[in-house]
Amino acid sequence: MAAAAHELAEDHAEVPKEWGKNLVACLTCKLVKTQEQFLDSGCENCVTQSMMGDSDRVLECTTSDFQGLITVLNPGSSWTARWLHVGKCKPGCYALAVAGDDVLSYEEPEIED
Amino acid sequence: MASKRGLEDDSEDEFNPGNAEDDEEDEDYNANASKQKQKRKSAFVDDAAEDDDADDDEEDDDEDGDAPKRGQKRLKRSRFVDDIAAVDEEEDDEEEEDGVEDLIHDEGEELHGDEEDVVPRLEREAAFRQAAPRDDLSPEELEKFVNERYKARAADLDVGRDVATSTVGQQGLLPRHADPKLWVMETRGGEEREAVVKLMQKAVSMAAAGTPLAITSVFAQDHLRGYIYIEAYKESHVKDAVRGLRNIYTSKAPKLVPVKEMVDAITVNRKAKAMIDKGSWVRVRTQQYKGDLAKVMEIDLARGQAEVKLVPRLDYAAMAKARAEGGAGNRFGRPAPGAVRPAARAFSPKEATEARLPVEHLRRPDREGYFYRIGDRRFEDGYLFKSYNVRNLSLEEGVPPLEELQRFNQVGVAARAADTDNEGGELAQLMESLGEDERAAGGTKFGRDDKVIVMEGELKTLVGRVVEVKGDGFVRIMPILEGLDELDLPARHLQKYFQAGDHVKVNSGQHEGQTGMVVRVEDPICVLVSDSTHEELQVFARDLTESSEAATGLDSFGKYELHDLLMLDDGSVGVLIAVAKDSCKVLTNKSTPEQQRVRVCRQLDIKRKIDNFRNISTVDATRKQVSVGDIVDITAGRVKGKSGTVKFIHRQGLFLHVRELLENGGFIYVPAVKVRARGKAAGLSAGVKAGVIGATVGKSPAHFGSNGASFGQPRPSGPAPGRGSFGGRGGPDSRMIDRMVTIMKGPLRGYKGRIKNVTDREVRIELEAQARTVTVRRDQIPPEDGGAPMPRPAPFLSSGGATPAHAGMRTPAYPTATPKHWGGATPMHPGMTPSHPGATPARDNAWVPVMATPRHPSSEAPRRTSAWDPAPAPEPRLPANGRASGWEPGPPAHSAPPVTSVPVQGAAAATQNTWEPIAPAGLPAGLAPEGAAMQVSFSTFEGIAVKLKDSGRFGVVQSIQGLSCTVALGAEDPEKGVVLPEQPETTTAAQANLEPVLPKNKGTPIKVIGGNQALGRAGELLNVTDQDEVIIRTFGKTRELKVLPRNFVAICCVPSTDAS
Repeated sequence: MAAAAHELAEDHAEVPKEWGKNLVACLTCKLVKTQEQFLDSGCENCVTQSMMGDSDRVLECTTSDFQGLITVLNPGSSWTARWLHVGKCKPGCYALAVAGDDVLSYEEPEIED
Repeated sequence: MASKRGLEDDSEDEFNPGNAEDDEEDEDYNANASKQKQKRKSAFVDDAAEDDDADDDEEDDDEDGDAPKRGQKRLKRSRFVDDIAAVDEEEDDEEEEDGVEDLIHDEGEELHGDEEDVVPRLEREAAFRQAAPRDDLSPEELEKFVNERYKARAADLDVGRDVATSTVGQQGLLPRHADPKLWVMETRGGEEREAVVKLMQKAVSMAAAGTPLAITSVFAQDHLRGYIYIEAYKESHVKDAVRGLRNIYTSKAPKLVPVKEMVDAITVNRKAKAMIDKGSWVRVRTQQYKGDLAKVMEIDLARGQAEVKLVPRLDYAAMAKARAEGGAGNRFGRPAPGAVRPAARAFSPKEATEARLPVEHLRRPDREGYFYRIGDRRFEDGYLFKSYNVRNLSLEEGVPPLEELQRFNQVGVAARAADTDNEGGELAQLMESLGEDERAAGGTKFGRDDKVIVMEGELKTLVGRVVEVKGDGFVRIMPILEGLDELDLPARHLQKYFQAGDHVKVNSGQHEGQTGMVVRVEDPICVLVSDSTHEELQVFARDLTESSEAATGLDSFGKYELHDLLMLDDGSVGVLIAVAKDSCKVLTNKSTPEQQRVRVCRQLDIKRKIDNFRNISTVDATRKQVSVGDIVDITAGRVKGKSGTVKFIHRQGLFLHVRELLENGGFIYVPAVKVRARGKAAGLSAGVKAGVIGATVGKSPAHFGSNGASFGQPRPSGPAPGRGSFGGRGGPDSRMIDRMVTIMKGPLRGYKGRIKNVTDREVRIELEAQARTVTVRRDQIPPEDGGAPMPRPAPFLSSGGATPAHAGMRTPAYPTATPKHWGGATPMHPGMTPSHPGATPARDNAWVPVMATPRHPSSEAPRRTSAWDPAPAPEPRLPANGRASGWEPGPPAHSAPPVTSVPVQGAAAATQNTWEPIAPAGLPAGLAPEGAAMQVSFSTFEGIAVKLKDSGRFGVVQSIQGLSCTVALGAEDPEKGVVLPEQPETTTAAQANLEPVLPKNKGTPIKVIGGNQALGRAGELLNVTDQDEVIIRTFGKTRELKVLPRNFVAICCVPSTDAS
């Protein structure tokens, strides 16, 4: 626990500057920040998306069409983080769902006898 | 490469039976790695080692798999992230041979297989190669290298894997008991996200300060207002974490979410946000246009913005004013809070210019045409184009109701019509305005036996009946043409097919549930005449099905029923006169005799039903008392001179039902001073009303009620029949009179009182504690005091020892026409003694019991039972009359003989039945409704086919002289009524000798010979309904559709003079 906390203090995605309409979610990892934040520092998880400083890339790789908001503080031990597949991502604010990622929707398994 | 990737995807599940395991292993990333020191071949893979023994299944799968061995190996190797786990011992050599670079190469493709991403990929590959370890590295060095290389990418890997994660994989992630729990905390409404973000901020700050929060995550669902979920191991962690946050109600304890519900808690309800797309019909959720229909013209999903077009609601004057004031504090055009929302109508550049708004007329940038602009608002074709956040729009499911669509589309049509003179009728315009989308039968739900027409393909115009609706979008139909077999056709090529005269039912939309006759078909819209209201309805053909049932129409609106008296939200009061699917019409007391005000209400607009109208009375123009059920003459307004029945009284206003009135279900609101009550004795002064009424009542049971001595004497008139009359002398029950009893049961339990009167079922008790007399069932008083289980044998108690009532009723001396006895026949109280047989009902008008009150069945039907329910305590009508203890005699009213019924056209449909008990006596003949018999006008007989009653011959009326006419004789013809020979012989016949020949077949030329609608007009028969009415269409310039009693039309045998 202490290690995780230490990690949080040291290494985490930016805290969104606001919580209103300007939030967008990274299409790859669902990290939520404002568009400006993505522009300024990119996505902490998806460095390869090279969003930093490239507003076109930011528009391309993010969406405002996301649902729910989750703050993951301890990705390693959090069930929600694992469920949402952000268990390996950095602590931060994530969307519960972004547009189009229906793959993650959970369906009741059919019970076979 | 593509095929290889495909194979990989296919084999994903095969190689990964349990993602849960993977995840656990992922977490133990480092631990695994250290174990793997000895196993060089897979040192760079997180979880390879232990899987050799553990995953027996995989090996089974491998054995079963059809894929060639070599292929498998390649796959395994290339999927080096997780799936190398399945690598067998024998593959070791190959691994080494192929070397790490190959693997790295694969890795690069795995993550960045995107073709567009070639350049960065190459760069990365170069970097990898540069840093790639050589073969001579020691295992430790290699491991270190791999760890460093991939640690940073762990998140990426995880994300990358997500893409391929299936539902099955997700199952493996179901919460376990060792996982942290979810707790619900209440937050301020609308601040859920804020709380989530702030908790993150807090966690970061606290962690930096060395006192980290122990919670693991916090989340908010968009659809769950006022709550957030916090994930933690312990409740105390949650409490500690939320302390000090103003958005969270920290005083309320967190609630634990059961493990089973954790998945539900975190699952986003995706269906709620159906896809809004270009061309969708949506409704605006907020502000000025809340609830309005709009069409999406453009949509930018990334920004969540949609441009919609909608019918503007503009108040040009207000806009101009706001503009003149500089729009400070109130943005231009935005209404002040609380302002009345302007009506939705087409944008009018003319009006806007007149209001001195700066209207710009600009050319469209993208295509031909012009648009108008005021400030930042754009208008095109009369519509306003406006951008909304998608969140503020809600998708309309299916096609909007036709009525709304019409209103919406009319705007554009009107705007275009302003430029070009639009020809064609209203329907044609509507048709034009319906876009192709709406015209297409899209979304038609076919049912078995539906009549359909083929709209496309070789079989176009073929008509058939649906045999089977298949799942694959095909419909099997049986063509009506003979010689053709069943066919399977795509549903989109078919359309429901109706012809004039079909009887149909509406399946959806505003008129859902209505039935009627199709009188016109203008594809794709059918015009039908409703069975219940006789109104014309326009309905999409796709919303119809053939049906022989005749719906009575909707007669209830939520918990309110047709013809209920309702209190509305604006304080007005009105009668529910018509019900639609989600709105209803209420005739309000804001009406004047000249103009009736009908308000369209939604459920929300109705406050409650008003029930206590029965005991209210008021006074008319001459200060006569008027109560519910009275017949009054209307002395003002449009319907001056007509008479109606008082249905409800509210303050000084009356809701009357006037039979000959067609609109508003026959209801009309008139102030009481604008009516004159009929058949009342000399006017009573309002001042003494109470007393006088009391005196009047004194003749009644009230009298004997207060004076025991008079009890048992012949009464001038009994109480209302059906309520049962109280026992007379002689019966054992008479001994109970004047006894003090205590009520044992019911709402009045515990009250003491003196028995005033007894029937076999009930006793009247004068309460000691209250100045009133109540009716109590006999089983509610102690048995020793005469309480007895019901029922008692009736003859034993029959009043006055006279003839049993029902027998009396049959006595010829008391003809059943007398409403009183007739009322006594009410089946509800078959065994009850209706009244003192010695009383002559006619003797005292005031004593005609309630039942004689001519109640219009259409209004009474829903309450019919309650009207006769003996249970309600018949309290004194006028509370002022303290000593009144007798039976409430019911409102004094006319007695009127029941007459056989005739259908009343246009009467509010729902409960209309053919039983029409009253034709108020003395109703001026001219005012009688069309249904009244003998309203045929002889003067219009010219040209019609007639039958001579005396000779039985048929002929055509040629000319009319006074009360007789000349008839050309011919032969009967089933089609044309009468066929005349070349030189017909003529005869003179009296009016009484003529019987008009009624038309039977559709399309027969007819002439209207009765009633006052279209009298004398020629037309054609469209249909004969089962209620003996005909639907006709008149010829001439105005081709009106009329519904008339059948005997008001006759076959017309001469070419119509006013035919066009």
